[in-house]
This record gives sequence, structure tokens and C-alpha cells, in this order.
Amino acid sequence: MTFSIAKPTAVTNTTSSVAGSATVVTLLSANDNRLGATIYNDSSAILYVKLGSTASSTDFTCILAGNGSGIGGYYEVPYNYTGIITGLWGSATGNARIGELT
Amino acid sequence: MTYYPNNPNGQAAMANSAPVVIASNQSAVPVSGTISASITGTIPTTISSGTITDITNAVTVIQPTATSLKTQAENYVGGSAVSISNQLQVASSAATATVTSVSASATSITILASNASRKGAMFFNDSNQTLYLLFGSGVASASNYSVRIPSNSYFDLDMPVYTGQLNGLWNSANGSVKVTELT
Repeated sequence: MTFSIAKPTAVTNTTSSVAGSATVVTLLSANDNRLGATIYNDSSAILYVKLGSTASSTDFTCILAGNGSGIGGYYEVPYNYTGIITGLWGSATGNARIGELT
Repeated sequence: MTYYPNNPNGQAAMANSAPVVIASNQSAVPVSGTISASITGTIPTTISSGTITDITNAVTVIQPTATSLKTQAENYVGGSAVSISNQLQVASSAATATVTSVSASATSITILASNASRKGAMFFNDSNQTLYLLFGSGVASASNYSVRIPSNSYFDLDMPVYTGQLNGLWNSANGSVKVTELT
């Protein structure tokens, strides 16, 4: 018998906004049902994103550019990571536009 | 030994039958037909073939050879037969992320050690110099690398995830690389 194996697909996108902050904030809480996540930096300040707790300007996974030139940085969380995601900005302005796929 | 009333026709109801004692040295008596039983504990025998149905509690089956055990459950998902329109789904997710910072070096260094439990890895080159990243434990150089990560740029491993060692070096020692490993 030949098996047909598929990766789970996401049919729901739950959006949220997190206000820019110069101190660490939670962008997404841990969610075992998460299949993916998108983060768009709708701020003129750069956004430090960390997969994990306590992001800082020296402890992060990636930096998303500010939207000063019109389009901010965008990040798709890979590998079906389900843990907490934290971040902070260079200064407290704008928002992160977040989508969580389940 | 005589019992009354006599039963001239052979088999009769229990009240009208004589008890039978099986000899202490009776050889095996074959049983045919369908056997119905509620069994707990260990079944002290061998099932040579056939199907066990209606298992409602946890059951451990010891498979004596590599090919002798088949389970019908593997053919089903959600109670329906697996097919192209009802595919078996296998999910793989990572709940733990570990971020480390590796200072830039102009000579080859270990960026990420081998880890068989790795489910993913991301690299942000927080340096004003290009990072030459090598998949392997050899000496990375400007002519021996797998991928070049420009200054202030991001890279993550493709699936299936490479779990071996990664080495790297920069044109000069400036800044660091932030490495996030998922397990």
C-alpha cells in the first residue's frame, strides 16, 4: 500500500497589533496549535524579534527594518515554531502587525 | 459405576447427564469452531494468523519478527481510509528556541555545533562584514563555504534541516552572528 502524507495546512489567520515599545514585549504567546506566523514592522524604528523570551538589542533572532522608506521589514516564522515570540523597537513608535496561522 | 436415570440417547441436559472426569494424563484435546473470550493479562500462546478486533483498552503486542505483525490502524486516519483526498497528516513543530551570539572572527570558527535534535536554525549576521558559512566541520574560508550572508542579513536552513556542524568566518572580526536553534 502506498501512503499519501501531507503537511497540515492552516485555514485561519488571526491578526493582532502590538504597539511599538523600547522595552521587551510579547509579540505572540506560545501556542501549540500554531502552524505559522507573520510579523510586519509597521514602525519607523527597527524591530528586534526573538524566538523566545527577553529579546534585546543584543539577543535576538532577526532585525526587521523600519518603514521609513515606505515598506517595513517582514518576517515569516519558520519550522512551525510554537513557542513565545518577543520583541522590542529602537524607540516606542508604530506597531507590529502580526498574523498567527492555525 | 452406574448413574440413574440412564441416558440411552447419548447427550442430554446437565440434570440428566453423568459427570465426566478428564484423565490426569489426558493428551491435548483439539477445539474447533469460534472461540469467544474476554482476556486480561498475558495470552500464553501464539496467534499464527487472523485478526483481533474490538480492542478497547491499551494492549501491548510483542512482535516476534520484523514482518509478522500488521496493524490495520496504520491504514486509517480519522476513521476513514487513507487516500489522495484524505491524506495522512504528519505535523512537526518546535517549541524551544535557543539564541546564542557568536563573535565574528577572521579565521574559521564553529558557528553551530552538531545537534541531532535540531529542528531548525536561523542566522542573523549582525556585522558590517560578510559571513561565509560552511555546512560541515571543515575549515571555512572565502573560497570554501556553503552560503555567504551579507552584513545585517538573515538566513535560515532549508528543510529537511541539516543537523551537522556549521563553521564560518568573516572578512574581518567585526560584530557577531545571532544564531537561533530550534529543538
